[in-house]
Amino acid sequence: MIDKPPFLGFGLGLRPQHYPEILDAETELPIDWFEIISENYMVEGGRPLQMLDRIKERYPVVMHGVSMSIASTAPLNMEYLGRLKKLADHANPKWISDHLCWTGVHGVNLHDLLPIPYTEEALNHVAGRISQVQDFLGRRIAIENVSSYIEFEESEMDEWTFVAEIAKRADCWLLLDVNNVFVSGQNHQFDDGNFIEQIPVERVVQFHLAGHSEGEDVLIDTHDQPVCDEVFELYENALKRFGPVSTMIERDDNIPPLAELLAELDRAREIASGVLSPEQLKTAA
Amino acid sequence: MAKNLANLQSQMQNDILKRESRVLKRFSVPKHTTAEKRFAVYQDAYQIRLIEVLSEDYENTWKYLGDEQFYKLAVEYIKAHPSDQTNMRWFGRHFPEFLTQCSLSSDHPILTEIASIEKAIEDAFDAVDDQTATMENLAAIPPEAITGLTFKLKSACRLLRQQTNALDIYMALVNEQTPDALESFDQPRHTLVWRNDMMCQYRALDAEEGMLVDLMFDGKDFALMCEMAATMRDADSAATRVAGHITNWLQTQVISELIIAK
Repeated sequence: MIDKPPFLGFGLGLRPQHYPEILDAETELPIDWFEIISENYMVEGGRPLQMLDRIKERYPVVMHGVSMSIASTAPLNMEYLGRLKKLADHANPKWISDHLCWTGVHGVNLHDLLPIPYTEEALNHVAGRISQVQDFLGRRIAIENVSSYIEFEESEMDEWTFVAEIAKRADCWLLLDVNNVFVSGQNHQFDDGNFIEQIPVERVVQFHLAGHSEGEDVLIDTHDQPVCDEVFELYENALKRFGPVSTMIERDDNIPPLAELLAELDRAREIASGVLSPEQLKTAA
Repeated sequence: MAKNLANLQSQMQNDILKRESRVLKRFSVPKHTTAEKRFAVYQDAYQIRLIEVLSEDYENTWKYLGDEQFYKLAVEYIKAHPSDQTNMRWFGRHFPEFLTQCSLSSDHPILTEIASIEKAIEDAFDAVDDQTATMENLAAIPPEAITGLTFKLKSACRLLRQQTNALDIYMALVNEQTPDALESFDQPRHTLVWRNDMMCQYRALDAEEGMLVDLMFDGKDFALMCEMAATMRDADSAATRVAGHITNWLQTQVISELIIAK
């Protein structure tokens, strides 16, 4: 893999609640990069794009979408992809990612990251669509594993086999969400360490660390809690396998003051410094 | 075409939207739980997420209605308008209009009018960043071109014509005060919503200014604006009053362009 994107260090999901603290900070904040939610900036103008312009002057940015619906059997939404490309031209992200999921069919958007069965049929379908999107955008994209609460009787392979095969067939990057591996591992009683061991090292360009909630007999990927100890432990194992991978805290709800997220990011840094050498931790940003 | 996958997705979507359970037999879950319970996470999330978006976008309509009534209307709206948007930001765009038609709210135009203010502010928030006309631009207009001058309003501008004191009630709700009693008017009240330096703003307009903004939206020129102003109040000072409004609009970033007639 000759053109794998650079290691950016330790970042945060950019949230409007933190704009003032980030932009008015008198001293440099210990944040190496930001991930933006693509859809929030696919607008005509106003404050979101103004804030993005100011952030991207000072920090590397990556784009993370929730509506590509790459695993849907509905036709690709070319209008959406056109606006995504326009934003990418504007934001100049280090990479663009979205989820290995579907969000709706027949013109409806359920605004959820819905799982698919792991079948040969789905593999062919999804890999083909990722290739089409990559051709349209003129770049490789990163695909993220999602949390799920159900599996399918018709699945023919494990999730990790499916994810690895998608990356190979579509020639795309992977965004490994460590919390999602943990949540799905608990929900479906699989070995999360084995999941990580089966993912190809050369494809992974980004880690997500996030929090989840406990429902009745189920963990739910809510992103409204701090990252738990078990997910940090799994992150440590992931670092041992994948080496330096751009890492970020992803918080979408119950958003705390920036300092709390920086403390979580510091914990990720500490873990990484225990696993990786100073040379490996040098960022290219 | 991935036929099995397409069939599965249609079934799952149907069962999420209608809270049905035909698709459950296709799921596999650990023994300690059930497919019903696990699928309910997706079914619940759909409604919860969309109600949350509506309650954020129409926060003051919600405050005015109270939790129970707002929840009922939100559920009805979700059924009537399943989201077809890639950004939830636009999911609630039909809500003010829905309130005029829904049997639960159609007798209460105040609800539509409060919701319309909230929608106009949302729309102004991320409208196109078009150019801003300035006092310097106005000063550069040749005197002989003034009468034929027309005005392009900025994309963020919205002019609301309302039959109730919705703006006063909205402002009280924003400020966490007890709103005045509902009043209805024979003549519509005008409210201008726009964006000034990235900040969404709104204010009530008197009848004359409301009419003038209406004329600007229709592309009418300065001469006609003065003529119409003369019919409303003192004719001798009409041109001065219109010029005063134009100055104010330029200073508060309401106008995008001054267009000289060809």
